[in-house]
Amino acid sequence: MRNSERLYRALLRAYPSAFRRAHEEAMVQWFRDHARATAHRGGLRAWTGFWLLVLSDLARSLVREHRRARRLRATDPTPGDGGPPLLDGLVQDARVALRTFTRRPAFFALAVTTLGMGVGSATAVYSTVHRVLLAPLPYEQPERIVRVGKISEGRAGVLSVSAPDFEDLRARARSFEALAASRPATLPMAGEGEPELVRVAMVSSDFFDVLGRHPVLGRTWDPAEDRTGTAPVIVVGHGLWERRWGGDPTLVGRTVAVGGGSFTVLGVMPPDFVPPEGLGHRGAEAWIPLALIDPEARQQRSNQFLQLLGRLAPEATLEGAGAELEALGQALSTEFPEPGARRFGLSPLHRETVGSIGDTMLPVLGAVLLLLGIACVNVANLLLIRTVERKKELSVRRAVGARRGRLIRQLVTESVIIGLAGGLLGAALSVLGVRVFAALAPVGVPRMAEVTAGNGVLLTAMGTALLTSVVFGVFPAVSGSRADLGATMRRGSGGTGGTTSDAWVRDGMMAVQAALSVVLVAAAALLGSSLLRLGAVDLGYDPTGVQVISVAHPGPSADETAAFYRTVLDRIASLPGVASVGATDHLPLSGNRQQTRIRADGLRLSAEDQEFGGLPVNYQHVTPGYFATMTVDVAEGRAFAEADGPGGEPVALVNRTLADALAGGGSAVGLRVTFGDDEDGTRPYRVVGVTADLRQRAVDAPPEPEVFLAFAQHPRGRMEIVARGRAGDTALLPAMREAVRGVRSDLPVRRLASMSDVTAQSVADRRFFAVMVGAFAVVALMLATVGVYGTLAFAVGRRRRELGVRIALGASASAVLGTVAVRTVAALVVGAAAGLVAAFAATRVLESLLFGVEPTDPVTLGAAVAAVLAAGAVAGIVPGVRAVRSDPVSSLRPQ
Amino acid sequence: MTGPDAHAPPPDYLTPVIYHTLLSLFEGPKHGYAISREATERTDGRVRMGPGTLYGTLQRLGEKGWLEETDEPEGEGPHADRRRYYRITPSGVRVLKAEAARLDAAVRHARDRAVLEGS
Repeated sequence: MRNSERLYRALLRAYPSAFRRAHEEAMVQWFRDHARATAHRGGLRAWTGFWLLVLSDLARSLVREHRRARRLRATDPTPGDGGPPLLDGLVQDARVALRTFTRRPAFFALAVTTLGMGVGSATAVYSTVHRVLLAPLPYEQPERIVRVGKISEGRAGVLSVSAPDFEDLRARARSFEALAASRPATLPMAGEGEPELVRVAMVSSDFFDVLGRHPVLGRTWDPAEDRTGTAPVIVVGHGLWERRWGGDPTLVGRTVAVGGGSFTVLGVMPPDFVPPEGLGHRGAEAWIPLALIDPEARQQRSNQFLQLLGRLAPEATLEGAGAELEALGQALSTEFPEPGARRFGLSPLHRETVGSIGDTMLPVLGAVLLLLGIACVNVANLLLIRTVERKKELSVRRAVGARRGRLIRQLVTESVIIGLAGGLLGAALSVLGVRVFAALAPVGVPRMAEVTAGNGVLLTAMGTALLTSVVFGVFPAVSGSRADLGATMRRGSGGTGGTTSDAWVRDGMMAVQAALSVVLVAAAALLGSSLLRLGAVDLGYDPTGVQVISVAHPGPSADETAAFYRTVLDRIASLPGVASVGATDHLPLSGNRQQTRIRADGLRLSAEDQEFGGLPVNYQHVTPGYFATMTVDVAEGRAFAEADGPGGEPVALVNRTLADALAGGGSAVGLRVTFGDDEDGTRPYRVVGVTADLRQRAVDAPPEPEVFLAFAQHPRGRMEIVARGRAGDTALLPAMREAVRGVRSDLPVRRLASMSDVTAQSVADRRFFAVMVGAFAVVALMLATVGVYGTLAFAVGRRRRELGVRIALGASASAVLGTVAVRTVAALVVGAAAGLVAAFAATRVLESLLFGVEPTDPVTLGAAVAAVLAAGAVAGIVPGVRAVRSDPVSSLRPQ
Repeated sequence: MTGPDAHAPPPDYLTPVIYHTLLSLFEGPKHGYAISREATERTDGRVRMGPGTLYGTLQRLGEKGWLEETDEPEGEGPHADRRRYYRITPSGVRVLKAEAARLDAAVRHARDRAVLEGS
């Protein structure tokens, strides 16, 4: 509110000083009152109306009051009334400029639109990137917070650590003033309100000390309360507090039902507190003590599941802490060699946050800056053309005595008005753009929730537009106001379009636009091509018509869980329109997985794998109907059957990748395998079937070894139930939920999506960027086309007279136009070639976003160049055709 | 009349902005924002007065002698409204009544010729 008031007060300086002295305070008060009333109504429409009223009233009453002031001065000249002469002069300049623009509305509209679109999109993207990448993290001294963990060759990032290793590190490391451990979990919350699944983070007591943030209500637990056996407590996030308990301040001290137990609420975190990136608990809304983890898991040094976060001690440095961790790693590996050699290291938290999105945000920022560049060049071109067209007028004015400075001021005022108008348009577009960006951005982008379209965005847009228009307006203004009246008049009305250097500049700008466009279009084409290839990947299953719900059964006994799911699956199978039903505990492309290690006779293992107990494989538990429902091809052997029950022989299916590893060329069916840390110890499983490879982790990740176990033999509480019905049957999901509710009404039912949506969601990142960059490329191509058209129309128009003469003398129009065309084509080709070279370098940035296509793919880059040249050709043909068609006689008449 | 409008013959009607300003003030002294807000509400948004138009008009009507600024803030004590309040003058009331009568006559003519319904 205060920034806009200051802006308004500044705008009031444009009034005559007498009027301002009398009414400034009252008008500011009016502004405040109306702003308050508008804030009460709220919404984009209300604020747009507010600013429209204020600005249009400003425009109208400014004119009126200045006219009155001038009339007053005429009848009663008192010095100081009506404002200082400079201001009067500027207002007059503005009026003349507006008159000029009214005469040539196309030029004005084009310049403003170009500037607005370039500035608007650039500001929207920049604001988002700034908040997401550059703004400081909402923790105390965030640069001293680091992620700590195991480093492994061949695997990026900082990995998990076991509980005993964590305790030792915490005890021995001197470089950290606090070291905390965490792991994510998803727990059902029941009681008041809908039962829902909530993401929580299980953290040690000093987690909040590491981050330096503390609850806004209540407190967190201290080390004494972080022991196994003490009553469970929970700290609740602000969002969850408002959503579930309506922000009730008496919540602290009460108990809530979480995960089947009773937790006492100790505190509520502040609204701007967000979980740190890279620990796997993005989206966590509550925190519970780490002590609640199964005690057995906390004693195994080989069970590495904790993510560590540390705060450097005041005198410690990153290098020093890193060295200490190395030494400790060696010490622990020597003292406790069973889990194998371990290396420990650290990574600054900021890098974790930025790294995961820097790859994706920066290309978009680059793309939009290219767009802005094209827009700026376009506007500069337009301004230059305008100035050349007015050379005669300007020369005449200079000849009759106008000062050069005055002319320059006049021209610069025009640029400023274009800048203001373009800035307003850009500001409006950027506000819209930020909202669109935030709405479309995939769920995975961290800190998106912090992005809002605030006053900063508007001021940035206006500032950029003004800067651009003034900077690009000064050069034409200065060159256009040069005094060479004689030369200009001699050239007559059919001049060759300005000096030679002007023509070079125009052609140069066309080339630059072509170059920038090529880079942008190439990037868009690469991203689009990747998206298409992703769409063509064989998922290994068919998502059409498959709907999914997530259910969590709390147990406590495996028999109850098995019986529950059996009943639910039977009910869903009997729903009308359901062809088949099944369940798994790890849905493909849902982003998570569980791993174990597998051993078998004849299975060759690397040294590291042997140390750790076997080949790492993903595993999941499925019901017999799962493969049929998902249309997964069981190439050899059979799927699970009803007979594969709790008492029977342990059976498993493996996917093609794992089958090939186990059996080489032969069939894996019949082989016996054992699992590393399965709770069943070393009971052998018999492989009864081989499935096709599923894209389990990500569409663009190659299939990994997968093992499928029978749900009946290992009932799991949290399952994803899939049902195949008719494609697009939206009534199926509520029916599925009702089926679950009919058995147990207190269990939360989540996800509720179609499998196609889940699949699409997994590529949401790429789609987002492809769409964004694609949109920029389309706009850029449009702007570049318009730029080429404008330049050519101008050049051809300048030579109309010459054209008329030559045609009248019998020459063919195309020959005459030929020279103009050759120049243009040359400029475009040179520009496109330069753009191609630039694209080679620039598209490398996209490498991590691409799939199935190289950043320097010649076909795609060639297509981009062709598109830009084609656009240029189309833009160029129209003025040429118009010139050829025009009546040569009329072009010979004196203008 | 004095001032810059002296050489132009006065029109025989009031602009909507002036009419609604006087109308608001007829009910009692008001401050600027209230006048413009009432005008917008009363005419369902057809008459919109921004601050420049509003205060320019108030200044001109003051020069014509149809309204004046009051010095007394409305309300008592520390919460007294220290905005500028305006009050209609007797000549302003005369002008308003004359305009209302003119409008009434105009509507009556229209009704007589069945341009508008009603008697």
